[in-house]
Amino acid sequence: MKKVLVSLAAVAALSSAAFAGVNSQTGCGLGAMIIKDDSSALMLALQATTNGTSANQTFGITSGTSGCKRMPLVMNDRAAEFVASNMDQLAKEAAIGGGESVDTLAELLKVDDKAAFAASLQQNYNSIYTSGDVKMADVLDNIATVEG
Amino acid sequence: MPCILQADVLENALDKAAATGLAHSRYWHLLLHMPGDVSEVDDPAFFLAPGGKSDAEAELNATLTALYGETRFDDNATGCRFPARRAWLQKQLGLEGLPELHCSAYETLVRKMDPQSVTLVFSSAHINSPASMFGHTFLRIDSSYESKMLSYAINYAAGADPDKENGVVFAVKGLFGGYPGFYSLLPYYEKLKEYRDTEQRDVWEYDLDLHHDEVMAMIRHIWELKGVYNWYFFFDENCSYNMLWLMEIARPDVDVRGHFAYHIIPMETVHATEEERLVRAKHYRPSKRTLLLAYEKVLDRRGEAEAMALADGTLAPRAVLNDPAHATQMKRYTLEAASELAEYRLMKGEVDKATYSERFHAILSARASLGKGEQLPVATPRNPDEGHRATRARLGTGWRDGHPYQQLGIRPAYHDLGDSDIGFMPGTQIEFLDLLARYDQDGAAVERATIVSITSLAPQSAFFKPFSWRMHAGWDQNFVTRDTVFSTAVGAGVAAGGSWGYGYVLAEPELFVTDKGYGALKTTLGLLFKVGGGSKLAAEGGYRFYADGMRQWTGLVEHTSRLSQNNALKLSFDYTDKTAGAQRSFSAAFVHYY
Repeated sequence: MKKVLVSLAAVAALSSAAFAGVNSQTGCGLGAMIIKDDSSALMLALQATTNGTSANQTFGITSGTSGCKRMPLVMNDRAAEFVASNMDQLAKEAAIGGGESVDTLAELLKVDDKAAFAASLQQNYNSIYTSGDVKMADVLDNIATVEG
Repeated sequence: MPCILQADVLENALDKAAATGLAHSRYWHLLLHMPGDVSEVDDPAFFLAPGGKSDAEAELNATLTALYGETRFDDNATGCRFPARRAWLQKQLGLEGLPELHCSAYETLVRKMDPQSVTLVFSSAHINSPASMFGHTFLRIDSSYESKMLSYAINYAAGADPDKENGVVFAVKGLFGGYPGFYSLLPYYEKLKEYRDTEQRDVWEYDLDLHHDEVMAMIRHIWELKGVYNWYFFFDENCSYNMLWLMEIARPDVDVRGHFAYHIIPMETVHATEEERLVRAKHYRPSKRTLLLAYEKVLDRRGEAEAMALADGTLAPRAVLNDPAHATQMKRYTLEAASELAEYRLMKGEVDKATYSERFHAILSARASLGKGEQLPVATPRNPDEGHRATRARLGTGWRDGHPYQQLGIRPAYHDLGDSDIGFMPGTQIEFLDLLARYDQDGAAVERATIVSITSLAPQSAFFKPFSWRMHAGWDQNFVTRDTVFSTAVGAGVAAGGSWGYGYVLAEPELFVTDKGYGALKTTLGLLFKVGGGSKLAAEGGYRFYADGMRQWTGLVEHTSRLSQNNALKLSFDYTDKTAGAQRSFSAAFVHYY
């Protein structure tokens, strides 16, 4: 076994560049991903032996917002959680003009015409995503304004 | 008075349980995660009787006693802590007069999850990461929402933070039970971000055919496992295995655990689930990497270059919008690919958050201005459930330097470059304990005994420039003598490919363990052609420089015909320079996977 591990370590040393910076992303906000790019290649290579997780997340039933401050405007908790956790994905789909996350948000906001909702997000992209560091509450607020 | 009444009904319940042998029933053992006489749950908090881990009857009696003797009627009550036990015992024994409880934490969970159906999720290999090549499985609890992103994922993982541990310690503890494993529950979109986006793993979903009652039985039991640990064992009591208990709790007449003897490979749990007829529909979610490769297919060279320049911030989105050389759809694809690439750069830590946000926003703003376009075509690969099974048996015959021989081999896990790629990521190999024996005029001999062998050939593309590498440790006949010698090698190089297959070049430092010990450096050129129908032709030539001045050519050509999902025919020719002259072997072997 020891030989195996030594060899794995050697593999890791050889290929650390290829492994750089892959890890779990949790938390919220636009691209608020926890980037642990110092994870050594071996750790990464072996991560899947345990699918290691930090214990504070074991039953994150409301963890969509773990790490987030509750924003002032909330149409409903679930929508706020979802938007906070999927800011980048939503922005991409809004720009493209549709996708699963946009549909999910439409469902959470009880919008009947998903296609029209997606088209509206795309048309009003710059009024919803006003800058690179826009916050979840502003996005929801802007969507409400646009849809209103 | 009520006290005596309680004592009476408890007495009745205990008698009835004893008379019916309830403690020995399959379901009670399922609830206790007890495959034989001892529970796999290691946390004492899971048991109410002092010896409950190894005494199903004492645990059942202690549970009944606690259910009747509740002193708290809120979340702290035994019945709130163990809703599955309570519900099942109540049904089996027709329990009367159980105290009424208000389990608000559990009820909140159920209300929020709104469980309707269950899906088994398989996340396939993460390219370049050897252990992930086995994949990973977890369960998803689907709600009445149409969107599956709002489902919850039930995952089982070791409670270890890989960033705080030494790598070797982490591996050893992961393999041999040094970490507590916990069930966890998270929104599915968090799991998608983790596997599909960050780790670039394609995700396969298998909707299970479970009724609402069965789903609820599973949910009640999941609650019982909250915060409870089992020691984690990579080979058997791992993530995938611990999902099987939950399926059997939902539907006790399926025996998914019965498909496994000593090691559990995630994809094998999918095969077992299908064999138990639990799967009713399948879905595919491409990883971010797969998406980017799909963009490479639709973009021309100019589009690829522009997408990379946009992601790197050396080109302004306006330049793409104003580019007269491109059709609008090509501009849309270029900007979409650029946004994915920008995210990918952030995940790899190549750009800081603020720079990324600004760039990402500018790219998407430009993309939005082009209106709705065509949807990116993403081909669905062959489903992993169409791939060969994990264990391979081999029976062959051949000629070596004019003498006939027979060969017999077994490999418990899992896949090599020569095996059909259907259902597997091309270019990956992960083998444990491959054993090949030969019988010829000199008697029986071990031709190959691999401890572990891992290969990751990741073809370079416009957007991705990964390393390729492989490692090997075990006994084989590659040394200059005709003996079976232990060697270990670790090499790296590059690979390139297309629809025809792929080629690779590697440099591999090797160590041969003989009475002296030999170091060597091998350079390898390999080619792998897809023949069609999952069959392939592999050729590899190597030249080995030994530290003491010896030189050696090696060559291998192997044709694998995929006869069916689990049967193949391999024809191979093998050439190796030896101190006693060149050795040539030709063999034909039938391989069966099961």
